[in-house]
Amino acid sequence: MIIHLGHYLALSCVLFSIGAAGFLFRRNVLISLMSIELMMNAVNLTFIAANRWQPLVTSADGTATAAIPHHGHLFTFFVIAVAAAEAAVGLAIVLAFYRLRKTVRTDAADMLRG
Amino acid sequence: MKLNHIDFGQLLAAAPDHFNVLGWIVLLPLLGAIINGIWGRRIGRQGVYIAAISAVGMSFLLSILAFAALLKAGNHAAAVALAEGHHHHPLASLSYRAWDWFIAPLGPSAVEMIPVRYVVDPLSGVMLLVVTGVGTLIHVYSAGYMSHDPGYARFFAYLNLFIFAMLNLILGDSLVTMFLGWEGVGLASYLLIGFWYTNNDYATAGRKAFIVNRIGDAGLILGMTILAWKGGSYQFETLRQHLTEDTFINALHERTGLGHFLVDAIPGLSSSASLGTFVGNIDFSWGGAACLLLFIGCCGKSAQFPLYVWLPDAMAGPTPVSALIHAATMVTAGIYLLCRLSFLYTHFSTVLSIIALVGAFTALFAATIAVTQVELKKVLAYSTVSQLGFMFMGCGVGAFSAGFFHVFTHAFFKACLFLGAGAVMHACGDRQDIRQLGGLKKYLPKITAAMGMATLAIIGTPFTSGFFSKDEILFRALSNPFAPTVGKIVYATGIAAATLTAFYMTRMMIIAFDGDGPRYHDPNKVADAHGHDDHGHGHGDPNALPSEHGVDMTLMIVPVVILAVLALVTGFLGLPHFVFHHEGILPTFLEPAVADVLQTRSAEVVARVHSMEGVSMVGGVLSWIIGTGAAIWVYKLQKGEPADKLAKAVPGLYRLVFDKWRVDEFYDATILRLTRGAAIFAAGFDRYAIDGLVNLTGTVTVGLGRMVKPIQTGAIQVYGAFVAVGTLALVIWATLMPAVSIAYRPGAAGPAVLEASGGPGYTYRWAFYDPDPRPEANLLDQRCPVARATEALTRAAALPGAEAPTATTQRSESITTPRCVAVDATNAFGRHVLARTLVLPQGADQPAANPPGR
Repeated sequence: MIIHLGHYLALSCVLFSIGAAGFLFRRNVLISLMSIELMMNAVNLTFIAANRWQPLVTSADGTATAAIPHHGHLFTFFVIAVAAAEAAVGLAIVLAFYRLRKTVRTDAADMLRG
Repeated sequence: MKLNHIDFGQLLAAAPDHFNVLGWIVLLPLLGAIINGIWGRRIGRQGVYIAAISAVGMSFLLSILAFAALLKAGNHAAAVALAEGHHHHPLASLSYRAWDWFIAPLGPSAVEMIPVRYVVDPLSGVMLLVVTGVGTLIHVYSAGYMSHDPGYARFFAYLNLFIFAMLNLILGDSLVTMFLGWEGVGLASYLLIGFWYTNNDYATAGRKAFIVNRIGDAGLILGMTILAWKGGSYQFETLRQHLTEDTFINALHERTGLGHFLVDAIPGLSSSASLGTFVGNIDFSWGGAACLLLFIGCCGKSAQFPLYVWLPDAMAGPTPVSALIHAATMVTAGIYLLCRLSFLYTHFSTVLSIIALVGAFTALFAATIAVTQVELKKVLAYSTVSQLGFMFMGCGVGAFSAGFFHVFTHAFFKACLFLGAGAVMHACGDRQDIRQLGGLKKYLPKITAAMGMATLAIIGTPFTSGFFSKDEILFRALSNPFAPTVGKIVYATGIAAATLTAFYMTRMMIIAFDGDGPRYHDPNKVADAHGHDDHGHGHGDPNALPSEHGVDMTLMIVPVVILAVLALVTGFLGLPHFVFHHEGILPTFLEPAVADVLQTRSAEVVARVHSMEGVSMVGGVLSWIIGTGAAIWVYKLQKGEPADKLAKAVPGLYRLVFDKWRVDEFYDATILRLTRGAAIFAAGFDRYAIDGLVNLTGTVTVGLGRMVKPIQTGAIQVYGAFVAVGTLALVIWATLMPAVSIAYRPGAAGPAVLEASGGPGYTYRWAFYDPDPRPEANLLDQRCPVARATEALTRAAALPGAEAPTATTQRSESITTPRCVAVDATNAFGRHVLARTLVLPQGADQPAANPPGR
């Protein structure tokens, strides 16, 4: 079986959905953070896969040349960096929140209610 | 620096802008102000005093140096001119350019670099000596006068700041730098009038001075702008050059066309024949307008009718301030400006006559008020207004140097009188009501002698300075060559004002200084060791007899005596022509810098003018004799009885004059009431209309906020759910909505493939047609207008065998000529949704080098 772009996208879709569901339905902040990581990794997978499947570029003399694409890789690195930062800040918030409320359940964090 | 060894011609030719002594003259008082303003409370009274006086004193010494250099340069220039065969006095000046300031627009199409440059020429040279010289004396005096005041450092900081600004005003070489100083002295004046700001009346007096000056300054700014626009420069020297060129003279004489403008602008005016003609004839030249507007500025600063009202109130400030700012220097800035621009004013004789009449009226009007006043400083203040009127009379009859000569002499005698009055107040426990004083000659002999000398000068006693300078003005008024009638009116008014001056000054001196002793002194009252006065400016026991002992009094007496001597002798710098058949020293010196209407008149006219000098002097001497004699008779011989009788005989008139003709009340009832009414209306409008709108915004926002508040649950996962649902909706919309777009892929060979993408359930019609014949319709955007697409599709649908809507999203087409393609989409409910067009270039079906659509 040839593994196509569609397969990758399907996998990333599944991963993303799992992450989204985890973020939406679990009440533990740590699990929420993990779910966010999962969604980001799904996005990373999409980038990498799409990078590989970029269409060929037709050059001026009419010959189609293989692209040397890096955009997807670049973005993946950005996402990883942001995810690391996000995890650091997120955990710090969780810690501060725990000191305040002695719990890490998201239902307890509704101080911004209008 | 040994001036004799310097060849000024060479020096100036090499570096005309580098006489940097001027920079130091201006800078030193600023340094003094900064030191006293910032560290004044820390360096102690001694330190403040040394810093302030040394700053001004060094400035004065440098001014003498600069003046000597100017004389030397003048002699050199005269020698050069003589060698070249000219007999006129060339204008000598030394200047120092500090830096280039900014580029100022002169009008719609011209600009000019405005430098910060200081120039000393004969006019500013004399003024420079007066300002720094009198300024130094008054600094010395203030050290004594203010010795008990808690705001000692602040006072000297302001005083130094004033000197700095005044030097900018007189040395600045352009209207812009002059204006900087003009506003600076206004600020210093405001700060010093309201120096004892805890007293509400004094603070109000300061504000009044500031606001009245703003009215004048509005005129000044407009005048400056018009002058720069039509005269082609902000710089005095450039303007002077321009005034010798026909282009600029014509531009300045160009009519404003105001009357026609008004007739055109105001509907209904042209229909009324008489009124329309009258208004249509209102017109004046741009130059005349500029001159008049500048004069309004001078009216504000130099306290001329109707803007004089601030000056009497300005006496709220400490007396040295009244002497320096409100008598000797700042208030003469208006006359100084007229003299600076005399080369311009001589072109506009109507404006000159207006100036002369305003000056004459002010001189007489203020003199009548001074006659009834009972406070020393009030008498002197109205006297100042009156004397300033004399100066404007001089300028207004075209004798600018005569007006300036009076500025010069007035600076000495009026400063002396004010300082003397201040010393009297200091010695008499801050009393200045002459009815309470009396007999001071016994207790304050030196002050009395000095003030007596200054009084002799101001009332025009023959051979004192005031005599020469006032007579010069009066005779030039009588012999006015360009407006004889105006001249005669001005002369008569001037004589009347001079008579009143002699009367009220003599009256003041007799009541305050003659007699048995101070009337406030109660010999039965035990001296109270804890005397105090109303503004924390303690002068010791209020019941004590005045005396001239003590350091304070010595510090005050020395400047007063010096000024008194100067008041007597400075007149000899401008001896009258008809006695000595030679122009006085000062007028000759000023001649190259200050224009005079006589300069352009024939020798015959000049001779006729000078022939009237003797006649005029008879009037001047008579006014002195009558005024002084009447005062001596009324107050010395009859002990004031005739005056009381007269006051009782016409009580209404007496009250009216005593209340200063109720001009302030008139302003209160008219202008101030109008302004207040407008202010109340504006405040109401602001509160209800503007604030209402603002509050409405707030109310609406709060209401909306209440409505949507429940969405904000504060639970992060609900927010996450919103995001998820929103994203999902976007994805569905993007997939399903009828985003009809056309793209084509040029095939490697064969037909072009056209693609219309859209949501499921859509059907499409395709039409191909020739592009718009107008090239710009196609080339710019490579798209045909939608209207054309619809039209093309309608037309295509009407053709036999028209294409029915299909679900084909792709078409293959051979494009051999440029073609437009139009697609429209119909959704599943048969609703026509969109049409799009695209221009396909020729050969679009061939492989393209730069594939469009990417």
